[in-house]
Amino acid sequence: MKLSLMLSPRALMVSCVAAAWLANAGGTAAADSVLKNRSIGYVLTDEYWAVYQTAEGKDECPQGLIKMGPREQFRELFPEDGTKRTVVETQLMREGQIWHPSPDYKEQFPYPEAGGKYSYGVNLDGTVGPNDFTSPDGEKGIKNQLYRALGCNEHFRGPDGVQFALTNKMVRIVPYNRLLIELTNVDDLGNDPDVNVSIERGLDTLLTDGTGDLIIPGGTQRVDTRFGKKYTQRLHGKIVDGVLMTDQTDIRIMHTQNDNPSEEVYRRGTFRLKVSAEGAQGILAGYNDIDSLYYGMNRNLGTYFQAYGRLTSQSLYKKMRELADGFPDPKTGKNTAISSAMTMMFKQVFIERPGKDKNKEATAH
Amino acid sequence: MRHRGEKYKWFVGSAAAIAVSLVLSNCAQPASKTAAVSKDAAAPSSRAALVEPDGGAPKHLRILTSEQYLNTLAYVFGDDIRLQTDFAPLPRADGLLASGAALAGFTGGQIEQYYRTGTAAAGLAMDARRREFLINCKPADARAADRACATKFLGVVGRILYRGRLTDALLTDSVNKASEAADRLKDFYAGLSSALEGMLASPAVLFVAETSEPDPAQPGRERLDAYSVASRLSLLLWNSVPDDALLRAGESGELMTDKGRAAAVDRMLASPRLEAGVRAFFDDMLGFDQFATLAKDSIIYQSFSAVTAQDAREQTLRTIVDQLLVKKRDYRDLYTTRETFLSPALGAIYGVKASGWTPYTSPKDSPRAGLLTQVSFLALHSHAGRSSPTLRGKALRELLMCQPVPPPPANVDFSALENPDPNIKTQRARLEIHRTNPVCAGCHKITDPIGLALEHFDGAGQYRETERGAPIDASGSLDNQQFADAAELGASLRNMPALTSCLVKRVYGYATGGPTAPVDQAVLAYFDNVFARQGYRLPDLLRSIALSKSFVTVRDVPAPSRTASLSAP
Repeated sequence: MKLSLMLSPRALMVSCVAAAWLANAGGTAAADSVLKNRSIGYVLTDEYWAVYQTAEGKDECPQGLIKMGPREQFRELFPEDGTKRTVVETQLMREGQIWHPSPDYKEQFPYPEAGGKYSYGVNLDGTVGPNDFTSPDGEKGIKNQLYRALGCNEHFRGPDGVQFALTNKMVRIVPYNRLLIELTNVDDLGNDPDVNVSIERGLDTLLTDGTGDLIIPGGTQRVDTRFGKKYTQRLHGKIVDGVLMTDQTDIRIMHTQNDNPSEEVYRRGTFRLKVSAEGAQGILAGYNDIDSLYYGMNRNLGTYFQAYGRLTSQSLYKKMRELADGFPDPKTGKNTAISSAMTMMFKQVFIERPGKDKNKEATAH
Repeated sequence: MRHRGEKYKWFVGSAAAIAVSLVLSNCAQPASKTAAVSKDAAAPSSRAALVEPDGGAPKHLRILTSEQYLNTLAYVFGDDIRLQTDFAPLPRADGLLASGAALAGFTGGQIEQYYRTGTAAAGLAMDARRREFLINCKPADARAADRACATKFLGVVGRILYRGRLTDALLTDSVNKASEAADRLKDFYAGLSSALEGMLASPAVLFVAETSEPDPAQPGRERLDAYSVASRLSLLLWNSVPDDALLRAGESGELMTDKGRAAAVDRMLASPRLEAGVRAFFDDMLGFDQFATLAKDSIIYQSFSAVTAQDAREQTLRTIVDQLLVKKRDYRDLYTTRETFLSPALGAIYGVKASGWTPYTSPKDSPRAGLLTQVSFLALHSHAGRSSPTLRGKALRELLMCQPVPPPPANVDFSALENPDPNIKTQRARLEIHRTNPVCAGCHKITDPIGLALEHFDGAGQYRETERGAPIDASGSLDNQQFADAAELGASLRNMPALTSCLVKRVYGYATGGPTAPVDQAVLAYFDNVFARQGYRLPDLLRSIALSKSFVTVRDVPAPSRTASLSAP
């Protein structure tokens, strides 16, 4: 199994700095010294939808990026031509469409899909079909239909897309978004056929360097148990050539932006993370329930923010319904979920559980 | 505004008078010790007398440090009045800023700084949220002056602020100012605030002027008077001004009896406020004021941030309080103990989990043992981007053994160090340049062999096995004692007589409010012996010094000398 490492400009800079640090550090952070009791913990530091990007979308969006956002559509729908219209007929009608979306919504504006050969993601069902992508590493059968729906929208593209930038910012500054994963039963971070992975919620702020901007490994995170067992998940997986691959199962992630919590459920989800002593990075892939995904997006960033990225929610909803490729409704037969991949980056942390001895470490320097 | 302007002029005039007195007072200070390194700085305790010799210290005029001033505000008005202010740095004398406080000058800029701080504190204290419980009376009319209420409040507060020396004239003057301002501003509390500002910026509050009286037990000699003794005790043990009980002990004369002083000292040693006093002393002795300007290259030392620096200082102070006050351990064990505390930022340096401040004991095979291997010592005495065996060795000699190391010659050629041969991997190899250059070797041989033992820790205090790929040799020696690594260095230091005699010297200087002098040698040797017999317990040493004759006896100052050095030892 191959994994492409998706690096944003910031991630590239972070990696370069980390490399420089390691070169200077004289071997301060060897992998073995971080594996304590055959375990290692990580905390989420970056999170954004995995969008395969070429310059200006030349390969994946040859027709150009989406130009008709909420403001542009509103101007077209309701031109200032002297016609008298009420708020109910205009703004509230549009907001109503956002909050009560319908698969039967008639899209009047062009909403180009991302295409091309490549995308990040995982072959979630082991098949290779005509709608699948190939990963940049050459793996075929990549399922990521969500990428088609949002790949040509500036809102989701890095480094300046509002969703891209704000999601990351909120992951870093809001402890509610603190996601921990811990690998246990690890013999070798390079290859291990049998490892356990737990997903927890964390409590603490992230440890940074002197600039306050760069998150560094070695911090401590206390496990936050206040949200119940639903968010303490136990997975099983393996490590192959330094890449953690978890068995597919439903994975729940909580997230908030602007104090509006939402839950993302990756059905038949799986992590594909390149793991090391300093951190982990890769993707969380699975089938996202479209309705919960959509409500979460709108709760986190309303029309005001979406307008900057020319994202019209009802257009995106319509597109996601069209591209849905998993979990058909037993009654209608229509798919309710869409294959997706979220880029995630983690930094190594020590994880402290309530009631455990705080001072049991044996190999400190 | 006119009112404030007048007060400011009055303040400047008073401060100038005090400053002149200060200069004259310090003209009489003895010359500092020479800068030569001397192993005799650690006088063997066996030479010391078993009975306290005649001793004493000069009367000092010293300025309150920032922390003492803020502690005073917190004591009088409550812990929530914590202002973020740093007064002008004090000169370091005889290894201590506290001793430099007796040599400090006073500028117009500083006056303004004190005045601003006093104004802010007075404003907060008279804030509508606090006045209900801070002011011990209610005015008949909140929109007018009330002399009775103002007298009641200012009398209580002023007594503490003036450390017992609030005369009727001073109180009347403050009440007059409060009344005048209240009538003008039609606000009793604004008037009170105005008078309080004046008190808080008064030279009599900012300067501790020690005064004396004839000593009935030693005819012909002087001893400190009761208020001066009270101030010395509270600044030594609490880093603050005397509380009401101590002032009462002074006023009743009890403090001037052996029994009364013992009772007062024992009460102060048992108080939780002792921690503030001990923290302040070690913060001063260990040169932690340098943390204010400590910075590391964030590319080289990613794990080191401003939070790390702050926590490193706190870690050492917590360790000291825990070992010396809570567990009442031998002072020397500070240099070998594996017990400490970690914060999340320090956990990243140590490579262990730490949520909040967490007690931590390093394992027996860990290279970390004692204060020398804590981040505060390692990072503070390193360069921004690399470790420095020289700075570490120098710090150990000067701060912990009271052995001054001379500065480098003015004409020293640093080029070989600044632009080293890239094939040289380790600090040990780089410093070979010093050891082969006779101009440098004299001093470097007394610093580098010590500092090289700490080379397993980089400039941020992180452990490392290698330096630029080359294995690190951490062996070294301290005054003919050989060791293989940092832990053994700590063990060697623990057994050095200079370690304990240095602490005695620093505590004595700190307690008596000024630099020690050669004439103090006999007294210091006596306290060395006492300290040893006490099992090197700090609270016992503090008690012995606070109850000694030397603590209260005024020593005549020899002929004026202007050669006193203000530089670091």
